[in-house]
Amino acid sequence: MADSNAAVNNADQLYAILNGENVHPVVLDSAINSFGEIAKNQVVARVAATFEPPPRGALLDRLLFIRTSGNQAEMAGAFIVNLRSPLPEARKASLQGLEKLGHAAIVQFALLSVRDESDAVVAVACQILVARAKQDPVVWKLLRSAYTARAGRQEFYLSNSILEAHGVTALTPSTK
Amino acid sequence: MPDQKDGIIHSATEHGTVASHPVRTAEPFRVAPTTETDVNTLSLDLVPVACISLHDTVFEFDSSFPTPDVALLLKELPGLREKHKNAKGQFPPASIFGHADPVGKDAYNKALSGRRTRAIYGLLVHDIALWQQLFNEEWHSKNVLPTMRKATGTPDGGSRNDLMKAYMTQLFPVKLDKGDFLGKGVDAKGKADFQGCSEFNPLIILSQPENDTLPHEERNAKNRPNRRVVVFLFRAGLNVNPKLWPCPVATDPSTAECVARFFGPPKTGEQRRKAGAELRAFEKTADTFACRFYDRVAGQSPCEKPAPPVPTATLEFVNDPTGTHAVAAGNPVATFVRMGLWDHAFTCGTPSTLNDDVTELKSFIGADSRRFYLRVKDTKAKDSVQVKWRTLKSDSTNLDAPADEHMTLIETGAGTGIFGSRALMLVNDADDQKQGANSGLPATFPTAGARNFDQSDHRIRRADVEGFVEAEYTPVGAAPIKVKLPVFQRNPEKRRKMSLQIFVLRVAAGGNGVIDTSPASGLWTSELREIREIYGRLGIKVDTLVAPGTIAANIVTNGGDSIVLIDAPAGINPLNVSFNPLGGANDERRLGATFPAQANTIRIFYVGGLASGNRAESWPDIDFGALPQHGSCFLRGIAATYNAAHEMGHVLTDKAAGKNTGHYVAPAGAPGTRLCADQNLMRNGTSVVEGVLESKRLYDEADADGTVQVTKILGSSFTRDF
Repeated sequence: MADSNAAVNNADQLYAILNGENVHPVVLDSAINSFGEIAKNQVVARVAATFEPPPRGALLDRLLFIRTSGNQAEMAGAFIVNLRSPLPEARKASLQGLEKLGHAAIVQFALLSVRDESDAVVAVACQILVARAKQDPVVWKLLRSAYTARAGRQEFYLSNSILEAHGVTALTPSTK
Repeated sequence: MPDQKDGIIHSATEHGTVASHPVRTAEPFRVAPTTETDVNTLSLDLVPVACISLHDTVFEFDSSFPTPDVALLLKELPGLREKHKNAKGQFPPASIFGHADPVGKDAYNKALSGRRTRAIYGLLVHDIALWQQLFNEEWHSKNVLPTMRKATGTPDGGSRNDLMKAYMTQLFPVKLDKGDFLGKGVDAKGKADFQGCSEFNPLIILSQPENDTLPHEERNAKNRPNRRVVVFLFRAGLNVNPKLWPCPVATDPSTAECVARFFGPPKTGEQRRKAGAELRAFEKTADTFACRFYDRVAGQSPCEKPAPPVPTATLEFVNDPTGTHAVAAGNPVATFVRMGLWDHAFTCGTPSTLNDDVTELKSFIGADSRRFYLRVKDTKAKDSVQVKWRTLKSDSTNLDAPADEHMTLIETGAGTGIFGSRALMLVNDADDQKQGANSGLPATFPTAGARNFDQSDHRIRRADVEGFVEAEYTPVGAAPIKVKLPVFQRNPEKRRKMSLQIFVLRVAAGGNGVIDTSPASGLWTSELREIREIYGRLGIKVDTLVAPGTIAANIVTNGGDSIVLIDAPAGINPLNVSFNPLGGANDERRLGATFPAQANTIRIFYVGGLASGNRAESWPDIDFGALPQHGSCFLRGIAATYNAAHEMGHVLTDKAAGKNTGHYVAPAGAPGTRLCADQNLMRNGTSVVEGVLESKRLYDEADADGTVQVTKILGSSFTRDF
C-alpha cells in the first residue's frame, strides 16, 4: 500500500513537471532520469484518460521522453484522441508523436490534418506527406491543391514554405 | 561660431570654452645660405591643437579652489585628447597657463594665477600632495571642505586626503599621467607643465577713465574675462626640453623671467599693458598680451575670445541622490540622464496596477530610481516658470518633441528664485511614451491632474541610447538658455554594446526559413525591436552580425541588420529540434557546434518546433558553459511577446537553474509597490501582448536570489565596450 501511494505521489510530481509551460532543460533531464517506469506509465495513462480540459501541447510533446514498452499503446491512443484537440499545439504534438512512434496509419492521420486551420499542424502533416507524395500521385495532387488554395496566405507561411521547398507547386513530382 | 579656418568651438559657456585650433599647414623648411661659421637653427613650431579655457566662474572668488562647475569643462578633455591623437596613437601633450586681471600687484597676481594652474594640474593628475600644499597655503582660510563634502556626499569626519581624492574623482574621473604634459613631469615644480602669467596677458584692458571712475564691483565684473586658466593641447609627438622653457615655474614669486619675454619695440610689453583712453580687447586689437611667447602660443586660440556674458538665469537638469523627491538649491547638477526602469511603478497584484498619483512617491515617475528633474534659477521670476523639453537623436535632430513641450517648474520657496519640476522620465517604446501621467502639480495649476502625450506637463519623453535630452528656458527680456545632456553616461563611457548572431533554420535545404524573414515580418518589427527597447533601457545598443565567410546567398539583410538562413544538418528535423534529455541525438548541441559564436556574441536560433514542448530554451554559461551551444537561445518561431528578449535575459543574467530555474522572483519583504514580478522580463512565462503593464522591465535591485539584473547584464561577457 505504501509503495502504491509512493508511486502515485511520484506520478503526480512527474505529471506536474511535464505539464509545465516551459521546463528548464536541467529540470526536464533530471525528471526523466529520476522517475521509474511505474510513474511514467501512470502519467501516460492519466493523459490518455484526460478529455476535459484537453492536455496541453507541451505535455503531449514530453510524453515521448517517458515512453516505455508498457505505455506505448496507451500513448498512441492519447495522441490519436488529441488529433482533434481544440488546442493547435496539442494537435501538432499528437501528429508528431504518432510519427515518432512509427504508427502504421501515420499517412492517414497526416492526410486528415492537411485541412487543419493551424499552420503548425499543417506544416507537420506536409512534412510527413511530402516524401510519400513523390511516390503517390494522389497525395501529390492533394498537397498541391492545398498549396494552391493557400498560396500567398501569410497565416500558412510555414506549411506553404515546406511545400515550395519540396517542389509541390509543380503539377507532378520532378523526375530528377 | 567660427568656421574651420578659425578653429572649431565645441562648446562655449560662461564657464569656459572647449575648442580645436585652426589647422596650421606644414611649411617646408627654408634655410638661408650661410658661411662656414654661421648656421641655421631649425625647430618645429610650438603648435597648440586644442584648448580648454576655464573662466573665473569655476574658481572660488579670489581663490585657486576649483568649484564643481569645473567638471562641466574638464569632462571634454579626454575626448579632445582622443580627437587630436596622431597617426602613431600619441596624445597631444598639455600645458596650463593661468591669468589674473590687471588689478593689484604683479607679484600677487603671479602667485594667484600660479596657484590656479597648480590646482588644475593637481586635479588632472589627482596629485593629493599638491592639493594639500594649496590647502596649507590658501584653501584652509576658505570654505573648501564643506564644498567638497557637499559635492561628493561625504560626511564629516573622514580624512582630508580621502575627501580630496573623492572630489578629484568626481570632478575629473579619468586622471592623466604627469607624462601627458609638455614637460612630462620632469621638473618637480612643473616647468613647462603649468605656469602662472600674472596679469601680463589680459583679454581686455579697460580704459583709464573706466579704471579711475568705475565702482569696484563693476570694474571687477568688466575684468572677469581676464581671470582665466587655459589648458592648451600641443601637437601630438611634440617634445620640449623643460630647461629651455621660457616661463618661470608657477611657484616662482619673481616676475623677472616673464618680463624678460615681453615684446620689445616698437610696441613694448609695458606699453601693451597700459590702459589708454579707450578700452582695448585682444579680439579686436591683438595688442593686449605683453608676453611675446604667450602671444605666439595663444594668439590664434579660439579659447582666447571674450567669455559669453553670465546669464541672468540658469537652467539645469538635476538629480535627487538623497531621495528627497524634490528640487532645491542643493540638488547636484546632472551630467547625464538615464531611462526609467519602472522599478517602483506598480502596485503588485493580479493584475498589477500603475501608480499614478499626484504625490511623487506614489507616482510611477516620481518613485523611479532613474528619475531626474529640471531646475531654473532666475531671481527675476516668481511663482512658476515654463521650460520646454524634448529629446534628440544622435545627430541632434528632434526625436520626441511633442506638440506642447512645456513643463511647469514651481518656485521652491517664495522669493528664492529657484524653480523645480516634478520628476521626469525617459522611455524608449511607443507604449511607454504614450502613457498618461499625473502632472504632479497642485490643483491651483490649470495642468493639474492627468496629462497625456502631446500635452504640456506630460512628464515622459521617448529617448534613444545614442541621443540627448534638451531643455530650453527663456528668461524675461533675455535670450533663451538651452541645456543638453547625453542619455546615459558617456565620460567615462558607461553604455555597452551587444551583438547577436541570428540564425533561422530552413524548412528544407535551400527553402524558406521556418519563420518569415521579409522586411515587414515579426522577426524585425517585433522581436528585434523588443530586444532593442528592453536592453536599450539599460544603455545597451544591440546590433546583429554575421560570421566572416558566410555565404552571401544565406544572408538576409534589413536596414543595418543581418540574419543567416541555415540548412538543418543531416538528421535534424527543423520542426522538431531536440536537446534530447534521453541523451541520444542532440540537435541543439549539433547546431551550436556547427554554427559557432563570434566573440562575446549571443546566438539566437529560430526553429520550427522544440521536441521538449518548450516555447524556447537558452543555455547560460553558469550551468552550460562547457557545451557548444552555451550562450545561445533556441526559439520556437515567433511564439510570444518578449520571448527572444526573455531568453537572452537568461544568458545575460546567468542565473543558475537551481535558483528559481533562472527566473525572477521578487525579493522577500519587498513592499507591494516595488519590484513587481509580473512586470519583470525574467518572470517565469512572458506576457502575451505588449504594454506598459507587461513583462518587459529589468530592475537594478537584488531579487529573491540576490541577482541584480541590471548589474549582471551590464557586466556580462556578452556585452562589450561601446
